[in-house]
Amino acid sequence: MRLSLSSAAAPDASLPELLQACARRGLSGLELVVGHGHGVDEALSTTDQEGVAGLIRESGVAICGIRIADLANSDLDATARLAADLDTPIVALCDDLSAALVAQAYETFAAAGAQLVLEHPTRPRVAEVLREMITPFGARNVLALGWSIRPGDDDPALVTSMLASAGPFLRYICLHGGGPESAQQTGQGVGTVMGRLALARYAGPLVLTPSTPKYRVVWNAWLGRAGGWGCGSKQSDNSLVTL
Amino acid sequence: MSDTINEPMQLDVRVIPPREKHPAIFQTFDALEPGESFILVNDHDPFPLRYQFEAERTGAFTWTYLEQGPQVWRVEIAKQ
Repeated sequence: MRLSLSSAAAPDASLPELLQACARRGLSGLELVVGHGHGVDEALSTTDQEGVAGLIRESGVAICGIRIADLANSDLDATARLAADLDTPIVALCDDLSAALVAQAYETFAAAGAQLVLEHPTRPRVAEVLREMITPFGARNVLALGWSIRPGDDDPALVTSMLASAGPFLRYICLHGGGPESAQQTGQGVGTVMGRLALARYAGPLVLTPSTPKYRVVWNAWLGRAGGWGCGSKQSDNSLVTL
Repeated sequence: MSDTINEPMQLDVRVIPPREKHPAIFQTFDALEPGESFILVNDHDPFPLRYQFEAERTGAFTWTYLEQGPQVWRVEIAKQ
């Protein structure tokens, strides 16, 4: 697997900052969430895309995915073009999708030469339904499945059935927690998940993302970013956790 | 995952809480067939683990460093 970072760990960070943080932490990939400070989205001009591609090449860190908030309300053509231009999949959390939208997404992404990852939570039935939806299209390089894991909430006993439900379509995993949060966890099944993934020879990205925004200070420190949390800062917030 | 079946098994313990790390590593090792191996990935030299392997799996494993820092250590642990 390729350990990666989500921009959700530092939503205000620029693309160079995120790439540097990945390199510093030995992370091989970066997920870009549309709307964050890196500025990568469907509206990126060709010139800006070339600049982004250059930064990525120089960093040695791969962009493992671009996450959008909602597939149903996205501009599929523009999203697929962005994925093709940056040679990285689009990732969308899908709890409930229509077969018609999946078919339309397949046509659009196949025409653009791009990949779409439909991500599901730790619910085997949801994974099975998504797998049944994408199986008729047959082309795993266009449609794939992603799995969003929350070890603090999910039942570790479901790991085996989740892997079976997604089957060969599983190409993307998002792990909520981990990173600096793992130091304070007291046994929430992450080890079981990682062991099963190793034995299953999972080779795709494993994207680290905060389990909740309240850990943002901890993640900023872990990523080696400057503070900005001085006394009297408007960003000071007692709900934020420090270690 | 079927198209990645020839990939080496890789266990990245950087995301595993400290108290779960060694149990996960030994569970993975115990699930291997003789002759199989996995690559352990960590953010520091896991030499204390090697001592534990020598004590608890004496003569049953080999230990080969593939990468030694400064950010990432990779060790191939094979079952004999």
